[in-house]
Amino acid sequence: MTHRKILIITTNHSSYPGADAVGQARMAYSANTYVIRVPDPVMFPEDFYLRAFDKGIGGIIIMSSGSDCPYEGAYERLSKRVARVYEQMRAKGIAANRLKLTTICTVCRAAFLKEISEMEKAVAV
Amino acid sequence: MEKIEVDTLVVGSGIAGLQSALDLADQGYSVAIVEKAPSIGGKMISLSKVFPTLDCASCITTPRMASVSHHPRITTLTYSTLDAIRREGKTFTASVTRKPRYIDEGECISCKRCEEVCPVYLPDEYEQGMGAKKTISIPFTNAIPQYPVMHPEHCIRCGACARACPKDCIEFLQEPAPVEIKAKSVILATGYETTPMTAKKQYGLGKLPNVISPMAAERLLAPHGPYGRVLRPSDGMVPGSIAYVQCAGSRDKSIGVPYCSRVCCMYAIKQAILLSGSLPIADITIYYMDIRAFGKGYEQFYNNARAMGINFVKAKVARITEDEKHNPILRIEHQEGTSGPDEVKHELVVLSQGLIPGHDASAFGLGTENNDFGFVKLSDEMVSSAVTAGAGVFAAGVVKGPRDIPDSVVDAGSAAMEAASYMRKL
Repeated sequence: MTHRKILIITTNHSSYPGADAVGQARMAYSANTYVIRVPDPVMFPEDFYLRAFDKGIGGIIIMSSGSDCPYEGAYERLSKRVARVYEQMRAKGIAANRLKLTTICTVCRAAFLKEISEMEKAVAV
Repeated sequence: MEKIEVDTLVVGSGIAGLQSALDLADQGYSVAIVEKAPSIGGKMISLSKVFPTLDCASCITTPRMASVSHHPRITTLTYSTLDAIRREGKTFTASVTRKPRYIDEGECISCKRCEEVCPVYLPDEYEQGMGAKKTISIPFTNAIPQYPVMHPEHCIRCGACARACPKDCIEFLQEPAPVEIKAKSVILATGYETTPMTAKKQYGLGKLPNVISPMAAERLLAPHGPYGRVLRPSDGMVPGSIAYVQCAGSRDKSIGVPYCSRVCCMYAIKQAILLSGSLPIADITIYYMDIRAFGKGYEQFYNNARAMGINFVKAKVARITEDEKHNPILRIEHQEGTSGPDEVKHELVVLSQGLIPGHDASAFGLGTENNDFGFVKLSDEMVSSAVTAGAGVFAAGVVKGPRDIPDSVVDAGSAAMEAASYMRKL
């Protein structure tokens, strides 16, 4: 059962309000999800993700603000950082579908739910 | 009677109203916003994306809505009408009526149990009639405030909501409540409505099911729309051929809107670009008189649309009819190439309706004047973009005439500055 936890990194600006909108709309999703809210996921170093997998997180979804990101240049840096994380995951034999970088806006309720259900399938034991 | 005293009264809580309220409140002034709809946010909260940047509309609006609702110096009266306002010396006294929501707002915790158990469905007006909502419901998911509204004319008095409510706050006998607001200055930000679908008889008087309004098209394109995809109203089919009729509600003396509404070329191009993203194999045509791409980034936006394969046909649409499957048929007159009449069939048609005044501000008797088209006239456009003929009364946004979102935000800043400057000299 250690593969089932899904960590969702959301942003103050876009995806956390999006997650909140899902709740306000009373749309249900699985309880093994852990949403954390940050100003920008670019600040998390590459080994954060690897340590998370070591500690028993099954899957990680980075819900970035994409083009709505208020921090200039952050999204480009984030995608390069995530590319480096994928390389390190491959070196350690961790399946690539356990980490997903996506963009969720304040009203992207359906997209939020879709990302979670896809990650559930990816981490299913 | 509830009495409120503030520095500035802002009428309307669309983007112009919200921004001017924030600009004033951040400077230390107290503001009251009166909004007739149950939620703040105006038209922008229901749009999909904005032109020409294709930024998500709610992502820009919801932070301002949240800031306004949390601001210690802003009081918002929603679902409230401004009935009269008079000026006595340096003070404006406004008579406002809080319309009854039929719930106790002080107790309501927005749990939505009432909405879940209500057995009566109504066409959802926020979704432009597509989709359904309950007779007691929070108007839309990110409405602020998150309080339901009950529509008594449709309520069957079954009592299910009252039994389900954990705080016992359904009040079937609630009455409208009068509020008196005293202020030193007023900012009019009452915005617009789009030209009604019933305006032009040659376009079907709103009765053709697959000829829709631009606000309905926005809801179909929005990520939080009624169906989560673009479907056409008559049969739920995904349309393969979509047409836009430009100047459908503007530049037309026969419907009483002789002016150009300034934003329709761009919003049609925006919607066409979004459609070609969500329906990649669909055929999209824009029938135009002129393409008015005058603003910052507009020409580039138009060129991008052409590069994406959206067809631009210079033709005036004279008449819209439909076949037995409700496919709209456009009777057009080509203005270029082989000029002459033609009949073209599409599966879904969007009328690019114009912008008409949301409210007649001259009815308030504040000394403001309207121009020939019913919008508020500035006392001298060359000197200030916010000062009206009424002393202490300022205007921001489409209340003055059609304009896009960036211009409305600039107007709001201008109105806030003029109001602050005026109040300092009182």
